Amino acid sequence: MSGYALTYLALIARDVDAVCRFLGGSLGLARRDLSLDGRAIPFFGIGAAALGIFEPDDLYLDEPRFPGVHHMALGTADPASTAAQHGLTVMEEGIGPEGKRFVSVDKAETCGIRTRFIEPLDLPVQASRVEKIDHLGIASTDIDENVRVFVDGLGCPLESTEVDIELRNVTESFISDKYGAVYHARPPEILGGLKGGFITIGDCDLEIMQDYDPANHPLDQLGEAVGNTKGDQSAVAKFIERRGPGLVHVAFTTNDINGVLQGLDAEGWRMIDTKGRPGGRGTQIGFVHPSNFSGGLLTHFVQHPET
Amino acid sequence: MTAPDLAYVALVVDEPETSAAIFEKDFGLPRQDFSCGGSNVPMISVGESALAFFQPNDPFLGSDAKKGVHHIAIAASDPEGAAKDSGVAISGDASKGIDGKTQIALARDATCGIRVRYTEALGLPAASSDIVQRIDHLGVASADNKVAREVFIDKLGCVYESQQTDSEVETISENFTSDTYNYIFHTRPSELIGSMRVTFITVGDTEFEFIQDLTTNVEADEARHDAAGTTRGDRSAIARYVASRGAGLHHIAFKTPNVVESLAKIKTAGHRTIDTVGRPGSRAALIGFMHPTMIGGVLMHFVAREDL
Repeated sequence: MSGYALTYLALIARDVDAVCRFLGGSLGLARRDLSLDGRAIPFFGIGAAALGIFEPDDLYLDEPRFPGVHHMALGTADPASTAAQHGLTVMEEGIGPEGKRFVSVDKAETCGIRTRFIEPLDLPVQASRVEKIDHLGIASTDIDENVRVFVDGLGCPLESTEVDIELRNVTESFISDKYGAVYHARPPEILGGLKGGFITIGDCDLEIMQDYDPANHPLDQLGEAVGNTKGDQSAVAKFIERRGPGLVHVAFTTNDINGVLQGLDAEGWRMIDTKGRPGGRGTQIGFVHPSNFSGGLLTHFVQHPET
Repeated sequence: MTAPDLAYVALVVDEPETSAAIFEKDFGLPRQDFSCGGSNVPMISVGESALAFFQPNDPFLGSDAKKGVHHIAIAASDPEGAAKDSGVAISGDASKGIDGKTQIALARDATCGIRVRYTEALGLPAASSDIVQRIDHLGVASADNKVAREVFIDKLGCVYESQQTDSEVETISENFTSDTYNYIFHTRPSELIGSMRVTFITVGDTEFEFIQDLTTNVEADEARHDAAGTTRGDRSAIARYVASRGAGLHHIAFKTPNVVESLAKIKTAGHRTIDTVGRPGSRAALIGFMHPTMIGGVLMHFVAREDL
């Protein structure tokens, strides 16, 4: 085996019920409530991994506890020795859901990504609107460092890298009834850009996003209509400014992006996109509005090109 | 009706003496001084017309004269008769103007914001230099070029020269370049970010350049003199000018054999320029701006182009 696989992803929701209705009722994922220190925490099996939904004040989670993606737990039979083997500093050692042993490692050693090692969970999965977690979105200040930690250190495969650039092209035309037409184009101007890298953890990837050019100032206004590279660059820059690098969003794989987006829209979920738009790796993507979950939790769907 | 001759263009500047000296010394154009009311008015011959320099508070200009291109005067042997024949409303009575010549003003609101006067000819010699051949055009911030044609062609007898539409279109493209997956690029619909209609109407040996901002869905940009202009910037300048001062005379342009050389000569003479190289202008020209501080508040540029 190369690297480690995602066992579960911990999400913090201001409105846990809404997230459970979304994942269970609307997406059709199998729910099982796992016991954790006397509490029942809703978990949803998805592909080879799971999603755990936590209240913002759940003490299983270390601070700060912002609504959104809190930590990822990678599976291993012996969490403590795995951390030691990779020279990672253990910040906490304890018992997680279903009595599984876990350790959490210093996020300063994992590029701000809160990472735990845990004994694998065995959760049921069922047919649903999504196939699996596609990726975990990561805001990064240095992709090379992410590669050193997760690829060189933990042995996870580097799936692909890419650069996304948004360009402005301006053409001026002077059309005279006597002097004819004069056209000239100015040199393209880079409006924004992201460097991206995908690192595989089991049946999903980490999607590392780094501002292509920090001197290229982010937009003030976000969330206006349809997204674009400049908007994504701005979102990453602003996330890092507020919370530092780390986990930003979670994306689900579907083979019918427009069907899922429109179906959820029809069921009354507020959607940022109701139609797929271009994403990385030749995909079509579409976002769910975080307001459905009282804010903070950003999710989107991904459809890969047919191969 | 014969096409009108342009007697002179009145410029309002901080210091008429200094400005006239620059035209005489640095542009190499002949100067002649006239009395007008109680003041001395320096005049510079340019092509078949002339420039007259005034201070803002000169009573000859009437109230509220601001720095810039103030008025134009059309030569007529009988100014009062010519003004009446035009059918355009007259403002005030005939009076004595430059060199005691009879002159009379048309109502500004009847002439697209341009202050137009008729005057008896001043008899200045024609002149040109290696920098300035003649006035290429008088830039006008226009609210409606259709009305400009009706007034200046149909009523005042000027001749239509040409019309053009300038547009600046922005197209955004996104490029996703992966080391593993195919290159993806997509382009969003183009957007019009600035558009102007420019109508040239001949007066004397030059033209009015009526510039009308056609952009209705984009706010005008802030003024900036630090960068070479664009259609978007020019239309913003016109929109701001019309909003703050109303429609009317905006700038003056001089025909020159070579924009780059002329800008360089002006710089060598110690003046500021906005451009150091030519950029595309109307009528398939190359244009280059001098800084408005050079002639105490008048916006001026050079034009190099082939006559058709």
